[in-house]
Amino acid sequence: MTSIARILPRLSPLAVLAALAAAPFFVGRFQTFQLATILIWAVAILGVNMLTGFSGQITLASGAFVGIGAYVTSVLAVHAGVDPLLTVLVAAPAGFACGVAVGVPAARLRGIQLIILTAVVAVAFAPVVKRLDALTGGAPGLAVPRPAAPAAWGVSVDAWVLWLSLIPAAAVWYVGAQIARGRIGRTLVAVKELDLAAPALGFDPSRYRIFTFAISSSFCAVAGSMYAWSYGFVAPDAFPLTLSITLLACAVIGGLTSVWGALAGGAVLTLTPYFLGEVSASLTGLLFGAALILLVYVMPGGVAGVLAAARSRLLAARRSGRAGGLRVRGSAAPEGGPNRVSTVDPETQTGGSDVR
Amino acid sequence: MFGNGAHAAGGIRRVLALALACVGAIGLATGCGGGVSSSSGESSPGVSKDAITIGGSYTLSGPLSVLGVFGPASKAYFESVNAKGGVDGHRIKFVYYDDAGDPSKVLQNTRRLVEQDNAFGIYSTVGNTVSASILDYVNQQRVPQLLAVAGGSEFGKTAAHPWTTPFYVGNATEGAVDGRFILSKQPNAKIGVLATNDDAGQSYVRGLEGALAGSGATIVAKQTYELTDATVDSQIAKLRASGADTVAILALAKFSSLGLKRIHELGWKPTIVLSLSASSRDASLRPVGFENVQGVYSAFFAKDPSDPQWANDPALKRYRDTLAQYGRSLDPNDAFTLLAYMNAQVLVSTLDESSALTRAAVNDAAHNLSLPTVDGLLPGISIKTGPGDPWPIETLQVVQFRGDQWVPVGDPVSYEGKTPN
Amino acid sequence: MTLFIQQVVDGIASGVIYAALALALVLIYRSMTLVNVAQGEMAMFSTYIAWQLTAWGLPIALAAPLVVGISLLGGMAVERVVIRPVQHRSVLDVLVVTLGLLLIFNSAAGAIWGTTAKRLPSLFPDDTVAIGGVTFGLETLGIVAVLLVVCGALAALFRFTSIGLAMRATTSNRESARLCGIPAHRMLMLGWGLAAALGGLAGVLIAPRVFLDPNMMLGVLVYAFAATALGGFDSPLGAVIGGVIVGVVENLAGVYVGFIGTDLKVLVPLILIVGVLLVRPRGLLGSPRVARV
Repeated sequence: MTSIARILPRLSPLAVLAALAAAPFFVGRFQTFQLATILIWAVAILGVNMLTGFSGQITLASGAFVGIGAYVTSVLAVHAGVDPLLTVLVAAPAGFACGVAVGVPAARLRGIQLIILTAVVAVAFAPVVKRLDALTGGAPGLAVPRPAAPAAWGVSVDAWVLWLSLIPAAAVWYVGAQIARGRIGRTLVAVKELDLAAPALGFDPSRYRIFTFAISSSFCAVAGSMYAWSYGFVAPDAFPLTLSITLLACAVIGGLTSVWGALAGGAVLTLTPYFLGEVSASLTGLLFGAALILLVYVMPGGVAGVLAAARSRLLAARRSGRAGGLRVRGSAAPEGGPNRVSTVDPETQTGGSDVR
Repeated sequence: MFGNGAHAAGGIRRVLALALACVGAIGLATGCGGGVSSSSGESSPGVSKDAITIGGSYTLSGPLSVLGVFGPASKAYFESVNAKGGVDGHRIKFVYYDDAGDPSKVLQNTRRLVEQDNAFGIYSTVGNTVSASILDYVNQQRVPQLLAVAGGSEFGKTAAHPWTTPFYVGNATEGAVDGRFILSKQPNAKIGVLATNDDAGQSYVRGLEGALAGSGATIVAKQTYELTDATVDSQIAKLRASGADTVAILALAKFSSLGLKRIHELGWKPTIVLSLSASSRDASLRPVGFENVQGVYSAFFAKDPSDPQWANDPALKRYRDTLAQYGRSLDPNDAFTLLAYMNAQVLVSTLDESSALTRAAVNDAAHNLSLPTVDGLLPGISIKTGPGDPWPIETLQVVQFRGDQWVPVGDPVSYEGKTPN
Repeated sequence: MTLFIQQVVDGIASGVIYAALALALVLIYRSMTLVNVAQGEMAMFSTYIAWQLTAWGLPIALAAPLVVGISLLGGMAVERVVIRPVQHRSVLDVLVVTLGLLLIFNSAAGAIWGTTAKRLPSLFPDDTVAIGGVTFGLETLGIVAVLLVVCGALAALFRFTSIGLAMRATTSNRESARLCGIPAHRMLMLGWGLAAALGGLAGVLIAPRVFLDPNMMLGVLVYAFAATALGGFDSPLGAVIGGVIVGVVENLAGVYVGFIGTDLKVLVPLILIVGVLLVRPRGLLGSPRVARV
């Protein structure tokens, strides 16, 4: 196997981050703003991936947790004068705590019960925020000061916010990867696979499910802080149930068990309405729905799944071309690394490679 | 999840490398892309020799899609103006996108319009939340937010956002007019209010309270509704239980219909006053049945296009002809369509009256409107703004629904220059 | 006391609205053990068809059964064309497709018929009947009657007919059902058709009360989910009872519990859902979830 193929996976996250950091020098302010938006939703979708892809818990509450993070940031910045950048250090634990609060009742539920419980959280978000209007500004929302670049550098707010956003994004990425590949990650996958049989093997799945819920929610809360930095404005109606559903949909389209999938999902969520707006302003909603359906049809396993399948086919062709050996067709088999566990999860019924 | 066999140390290496990359990128300083530079753009983008680009973001899908008609209806009027040569020889290029009522999308669309589509200004954002979501952005970027259709008191505060102009009657004015009218009929009225749960509703209540101050009339109950409510039955039940003998409703058409229907079903007969948004003959009253809403009051500044008394009105005829030619998919009987048409007329007049087609000049013109005739206004009502007078419309005509028409009651009531906060 | 009973009765009037849509949700769940996020929008679309028929002069008494039939065929078509290509894939893929359907139906209704609220004539007379100082709407009583009849019909279908048995078998274990010669894909198609038909019926029952516009079902959907959680996801009768309970509790809480107010009214069914899911996840009448290990 060529050394390129071995180095590439390690370099590519770095390359992407570097490319994003360099982007403001090549594209305009609006595109920079859009890149920041893609990052926001990629981080939130990574949270969804952890919970739904990894731990098998379908969630419709992710939008509400993004909202929680956004409001924590806004309230601290507006009422307590905290530097917006530092608020993410409060938003993440806040998201974690709320995630525990929801994760505890959720741990015992499966399938449609879980979907409904998480949907409840999402629907309750806006009315509660509106009721606490002394703190949150109520229905009209709150204007949040955006992080200001050091004046001497002469960079635009958008570039500055994009660079700042890369920090929590990279941190979330890193934490996610560490959990995924560590002992916790392996246990989570085992818990997901075994589900009801886990206690028979001596471990209590609830603790792990709650933990994953909390981590997922804290990722979403971080995305919420990033949202406040980028948009400078939060309103209760910006985080409805449809946001959670759309995040889940784009997570599936991106690829539920992949970090790249989260980035792809963020791109789909941000750019699809943008391009559809060019086509028809009045039918944007309809076309977006059709686009979602088409994307799911055409890409089983999401964007990440398609790319992984293509890559393995390429590598397999090379390998068999050189050694004349066994042809491996179409499966996303990694070279090296732990064995792939080929499973169909009874709950989410997601198949494919879960352990990398 | 991350590639193969990388270890924890590899992760730290990556973060360090990223930090270096960032520092290096910043060190590149003078960027060739405009994304980095903090300097803002020119003073009159969006204006070419023969065209001016106007941008808008409308709710074309989702729960508030009834407000989406402002886009296509304005477009119809602009096209009729373009057919006659445009404004000062400039064709109006109207570009708009759907925001589904989501404040983040409103901001995205606005940025796209300003930064990519080169829009001269943002026109006719509809609704308080939508309009508020871009207040900071347009004022920081010094882009005119022209003629926002929002009546919340926030939009009267010109000092706080000098680049934003409203086109509507202040909700506080509505409240004041309604309050004065109620007092004139029932000095000791007990008023129950059903209003939206936002700046518009709150401003309306403040105006109402202001008008009632020092009188024998009081507000005995205040109820709000949410867009996700299936009915407003429990709100009406509470208003009734509070002993109110007068009901004031400030709500979107559908919810005002639901409220009127419930009041009728209960056999309750309070004096009913509807705000402008709640009183469209077609959208609010027809679903309930005209026979069930006899005697309700409202206060208008515009003609209700579905009202038969205006069937031969020359101004509305011009309106209908324009729609027939340039906006055939639109419903001329819809009150919002007429409101959009009026808004579009005011925009064209503003561009016309402006001393130059620069953002600053047009913004200035928008703050100093003086338009005695706009097709669709009721007799006796005109549009005027000036220093210290941010609201274009401050005169309302009280009307009562009799038979199948809105019949004027008394003379128009003017709050010119006196809109309460 | 009369006031209290009146509030209860008013709550039942709202509750039957939720129950009607909940029935459709239950039927989809029984077919696929899956939630169809687009159920409300499909019902709303069917209701617009009913409105169009009445606008063309057809009396509602004829339009309603016609719409139920059209919805049956429409639901089957949707399953065949849109769902079938993905139904062998993961539950989440199907969920995403149903989200796409939600957006499509919502936009399409607005594009075709406009967004202004319309009035649909009611199947029942507008009168009320007063018993002991409490006012009962005839419409409410009519809806309750219709819903109970539908429940009975569904129970009979599932328990006493071979098609019903085949549908239950397909839901329980698709592979085994196929091995027994049951055309599983046809049973799924039928399940979707029935759910859509029930949705259309729900829309026709609900619209006279809440007025028809593209967003009519948005608010109702949450309450309908509460009803199914409370009553049991796979029990039609549970859905009806659940809906009524949700309506009554929501109304009473809004009136008697001070700090809730009308803006937090929606929290009531939400808290109910959470409570039920914590204490008895299967709901009042639902069957316990059995999973193979």
